Amino acid sequence: MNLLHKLWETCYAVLPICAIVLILGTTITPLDPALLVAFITGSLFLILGLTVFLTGADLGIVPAGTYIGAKLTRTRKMPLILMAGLVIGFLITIAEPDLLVLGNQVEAVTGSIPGDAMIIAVAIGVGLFVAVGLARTLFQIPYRIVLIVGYLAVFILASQVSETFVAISFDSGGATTGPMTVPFIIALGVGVAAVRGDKNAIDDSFGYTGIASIGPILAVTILGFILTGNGGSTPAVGATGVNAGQNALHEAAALSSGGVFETVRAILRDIPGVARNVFVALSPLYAIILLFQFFLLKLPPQQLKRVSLGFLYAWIGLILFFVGADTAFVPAGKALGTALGALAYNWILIPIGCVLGAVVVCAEPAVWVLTEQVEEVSGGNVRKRVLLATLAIGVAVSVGLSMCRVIFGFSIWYLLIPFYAAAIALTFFTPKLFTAIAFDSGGVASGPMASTFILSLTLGASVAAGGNPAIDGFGVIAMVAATPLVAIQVLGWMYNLKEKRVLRGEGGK
Amino acid sequence: MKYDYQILTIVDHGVGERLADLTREKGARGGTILVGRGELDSRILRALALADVEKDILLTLVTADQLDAILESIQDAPVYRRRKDGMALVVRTGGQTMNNNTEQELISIIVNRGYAEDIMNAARKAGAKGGTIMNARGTGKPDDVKFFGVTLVPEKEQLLILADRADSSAIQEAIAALPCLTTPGIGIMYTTPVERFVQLGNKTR
Repeated sequence: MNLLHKLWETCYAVLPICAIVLILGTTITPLDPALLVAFITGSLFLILGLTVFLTGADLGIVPAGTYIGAKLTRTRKMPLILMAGLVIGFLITIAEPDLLVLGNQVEAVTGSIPGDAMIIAVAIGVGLFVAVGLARTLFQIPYRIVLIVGYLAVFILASQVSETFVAISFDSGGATTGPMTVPFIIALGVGVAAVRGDKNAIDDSFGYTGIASIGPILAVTILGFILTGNGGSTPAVGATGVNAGQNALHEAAALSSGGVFETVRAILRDIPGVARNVFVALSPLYAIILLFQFFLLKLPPQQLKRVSLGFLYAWIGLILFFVGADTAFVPAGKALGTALGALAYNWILIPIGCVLGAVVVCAEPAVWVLTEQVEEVSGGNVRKRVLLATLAIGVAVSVGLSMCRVIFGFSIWYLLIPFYAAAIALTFFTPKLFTAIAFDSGGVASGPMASTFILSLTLGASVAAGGNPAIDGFGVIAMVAATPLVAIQVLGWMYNLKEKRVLRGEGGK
Repeated sequence: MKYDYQILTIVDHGVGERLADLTREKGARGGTILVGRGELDSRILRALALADVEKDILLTLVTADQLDAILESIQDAPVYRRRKDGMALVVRTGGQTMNNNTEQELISIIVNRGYAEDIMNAARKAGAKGGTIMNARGTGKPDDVKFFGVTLVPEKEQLLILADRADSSAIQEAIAALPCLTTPGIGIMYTTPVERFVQLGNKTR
């Protein structure tokens, strides 16, 4: 049965993190036993939530996205297709809970941009770039050109604003493409490609998320550019970051005073708020589908029922997932980071960061949806496990490098520029399918697991090691979004070399 | 070489490749594996849309004198976990049926993507025990639409339902009567007589 199969898979993904945290927490950085108990309880919620969510995504979000993509292309009305892309991108982004948090952060940092303005700017950014992605496929503009133009604009603008803004804007690229929007955008692209009869269709199935995550980066940098005169002062940011770190320490202390009982109570307290957030985030998506169903899709009753049930499961799954992440992963990550950063031999943050980065990305919900879709579209040619392993290596490198930054405090530019330059350069050598998957996985890897566990780990470490938590913390998400671009493309390059060797070998026979 | 029969083996996803290896050992030239989905036989899970299982459909072409050995190797393969864990059907190639009083028929339905679940539901109500759905793509007719130089092809689903001869026409009528299938050109349905049917599964259970 698919549900049990998924449960096994998510266990494989989440249990390594638990094992590592438990080993560290009982050896070199002793954590409060109560905190460890809370961590285990939360992990169970996380496993259950991920399983139910993925089942729901398979039933509801992914098929609905594919049907809409296919049906839209079939209408052959260019204005309708582009408008739909714009509206879908806007509506699914504006409801993303991560974006609300980001809006508040930016408001706190600048003191002059209202959070709402920022959210609307980002949502328009995503909508525009989803439309750009659709237009690119239909006009057959090479993917690489869109990327080069997009990122060139980003880097030129970013060089004009303060480093804080750079970090926040790259962060927003990852934050806005969350676990609800990514599966839908991926499915939309797969659907658009599925009705095409030509052989390039597979290459064009992916890449929409990659293009869509340029939107928010540009939107926030433009906001920063407008405000360079009066905003973006680093000390202010530092203060919020330190506050965040200290709050986390308080939370950890509060949690450690209770036991299993206290943890369960904390979880129950968390549920209504999370349920509301996830509901708000999912409802525009469901509304879009109903709208399409009424005017264009006209799915038969049984199919509509499956999609609706899928949304229900996705909702329940995400509630469990976020509750687990909030009560277990945020406090444990911060406590672990703080304890590690305070050690005399704090260089150990670097290898531990690598290992944690590698295992955490495997628990990211959208990563599973992407890898499953890739396996399906490529007819099993690109295996899920190979992609996951490559992503794990990529994220390991990014968290390791971010820990170097925490300890040595160098500018994020020294990391972002080489990685993005390499990513763009590799587009000339990599098969198109892998370039598209690579840029998608950048947005996908920087999901809720990275922004809870990895971010809190880095913030904690940064506070303890005397760094600037805001800059270090935001930078880590930007890095997690950047390294997969290189890692997956290198994988594609290797596939290409191997394929050529096989072809040559057969030719010789 | 002339192939007289096609064996259709429907098993859990992942088992198909091992069966293909076993049939090759018994002399089959090769095999084609398609990926499909079926439903568990549980009313509650079906109502919750949680009954989906991934399936492999193995197609093997065999000659008349190979048939028994290969069918036996499929039946005795050490890969089944449950007592009822798949099935193998034998159909004649070339159309002419030797055996006019076959017990079962294979109903094949090819429809636009999205309709298979509704058809499956109707078929169950009319007495079908289960079915397997495969995603497919129409190859496009010459008058198919072009959009920015690219041919748009219809997405399809193929649904296979094994039915006893007695139930077959009732099932077909129930499917044809579905209100969502009244649009002309939405799909086709045909039956193939099944020469032999083998229930696969773990015999020790």
